Amino acid sequence: MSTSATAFMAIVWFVVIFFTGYCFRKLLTSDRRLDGE
Amino acid sequence: MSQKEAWGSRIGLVLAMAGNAVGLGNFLRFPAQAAKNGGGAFLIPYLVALVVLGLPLIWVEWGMGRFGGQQGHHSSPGIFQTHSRNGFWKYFGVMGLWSCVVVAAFYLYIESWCLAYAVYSVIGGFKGKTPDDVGAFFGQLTGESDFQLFAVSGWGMLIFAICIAMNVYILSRGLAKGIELVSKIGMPLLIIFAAILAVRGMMISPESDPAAKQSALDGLNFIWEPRLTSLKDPAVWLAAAGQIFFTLSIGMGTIHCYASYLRDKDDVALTGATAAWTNEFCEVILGGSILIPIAVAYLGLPEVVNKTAGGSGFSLGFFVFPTLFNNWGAFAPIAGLLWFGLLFFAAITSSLAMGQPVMAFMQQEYGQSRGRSAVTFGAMLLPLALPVALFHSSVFFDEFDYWAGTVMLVVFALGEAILFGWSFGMDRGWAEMTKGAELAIPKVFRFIIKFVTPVFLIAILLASGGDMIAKLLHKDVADTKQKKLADFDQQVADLKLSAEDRETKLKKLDADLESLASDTSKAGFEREAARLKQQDYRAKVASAGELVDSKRDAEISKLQTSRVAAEKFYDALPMWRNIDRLLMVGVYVFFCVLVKRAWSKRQAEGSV
Repeated sequence: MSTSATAFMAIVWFVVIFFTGYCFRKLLTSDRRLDGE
Repeated sequence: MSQKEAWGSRIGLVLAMAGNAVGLGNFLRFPAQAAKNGGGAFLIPYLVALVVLGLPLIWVEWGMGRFGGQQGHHSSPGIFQTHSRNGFWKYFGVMGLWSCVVVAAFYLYIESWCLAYAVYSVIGGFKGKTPDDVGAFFGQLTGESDFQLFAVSGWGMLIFAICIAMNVYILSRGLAKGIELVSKIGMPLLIIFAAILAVRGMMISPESDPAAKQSALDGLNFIWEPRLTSLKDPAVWLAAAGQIFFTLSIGMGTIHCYASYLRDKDDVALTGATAAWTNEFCEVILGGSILIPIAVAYLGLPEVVNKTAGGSGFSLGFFVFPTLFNNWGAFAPIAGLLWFGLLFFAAITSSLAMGQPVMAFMQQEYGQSRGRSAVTFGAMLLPLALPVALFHSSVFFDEFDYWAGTVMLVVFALGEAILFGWSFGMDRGWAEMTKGAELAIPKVFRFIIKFVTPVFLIAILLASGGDMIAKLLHKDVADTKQKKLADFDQQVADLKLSAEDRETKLKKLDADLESLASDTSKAGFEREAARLKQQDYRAKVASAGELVDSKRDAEISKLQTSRVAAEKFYDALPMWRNIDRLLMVGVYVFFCVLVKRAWSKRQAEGSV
């Protein structure tokens, strides 16, 4: 893979994994519960 | 009477909402769109569209859904009406029921193909098969053949019926025990299946696999190499906005419905964002790492460029992939199961979301029980699903996909953006969206939701206006007909060439190939793809010269028969498409009548 493709992929993957992980971590550590829980 | 519905858990809700968003487009459409529209550079307009279109509309729909749910509404006609005193909005909201039924009619058909392919893969049905063989299998499954209006397949219909029954049964079990349970099982399996395929795919290289033409990393390079000049092309921005739109399942009324089962103080900001980012993970990371890398490894880059030129990975995914897995030996049937299994899970978690709003409407306005409303949804599907299954895909399937699955989603989203940001008011809207929020939505989104998102949506509609008018006037049919007939004429002319003329033509084609090789106006991969096409054509012209006279005459006669069939097919197509449009309008009117009756009843009871 070329350097530019690798760099581009790394940046976008980082953004997506960071936000997905951040949201899930916040959700799973929250003590809020839904009605049905 | 209708039972009270509720989500069982937040993680279940997120997985159900992500399942609603993650569909076939994540694995078949996204990689082809990225490859076609500038590779890695496509991700720039894509992420911009996610910020100014995707996330704002996700939060708007979650906020609207929860607000409507507080007032006992779980489908878009009622939810829209709670945001304005103008009675028009409940009829506009009908779009959220209408598009669910119309889209489900063809989406469930594709879902049934995934199921059939998964089963056929496991029993080793694709072993030793060529793409043409797989095409023949698909023809048997759909009953479809070139230029024939009707497409009837007994067992294709049976699998379709099984799929509809499966959806109706799951829906009848309710939110927590139906949709949520399927999402909790289906989504993790989908991610595991995709990860296994992506990792196995990345291991393909000519050194380790004699069937490989290139390394899978060349495919990954192709999808991520930023071709920045593509950013100057407005079509690339339009394609990126379109992809964000379809991938998040915005503008269908499904998100409103799912969010309407939340309590007033439940968070929508974090859960909405989590579902959206889960979809992005499945699309960008998993979807981008399977189709193109594996296809490039076995077919070579030029052929993949040609096969994805239309921006769809469907033919690669359904006709070519089953044959490529044969290179994996004993793992081939499992790989087929993983691929079509993940597509099936992606599809069913989306199709279930299309049933819930219709069921909720029937339960709430017509007092139907959960089971009965699920059967009602199945019954409403029939008049639309039957023509989809019984006709060539150019007739009902394509039209439903274009008008209900593409155009009206943007119209619906524009309507809700105006309703939420302007009619309901941004102050109330923002307060509603951020109530109970566990994620601080940046304040810039107030401005984006009120001004940028509607303008972006209007721009998309205006940019697609030419296409819509051409489609409405059947110009696309006329163009396709002209192209197909010209193609037949060219093939016949090539067969009739004298030996001398053929020699001249082959020399000209060779010269064209030479000039293509040195054409610096095209990128390297585009040059190679064009050369491959030209070489295929040259081989056809050359082989036509080697046919004996009797065989050549038979070939010419076959082409002429096909030409007549094509002409008849394209002449009849506009009439059938008009019938199709009348059917779609009829369904919309039917839902409007149901809404009007429901509201008349509410007025009589004083509950409006």
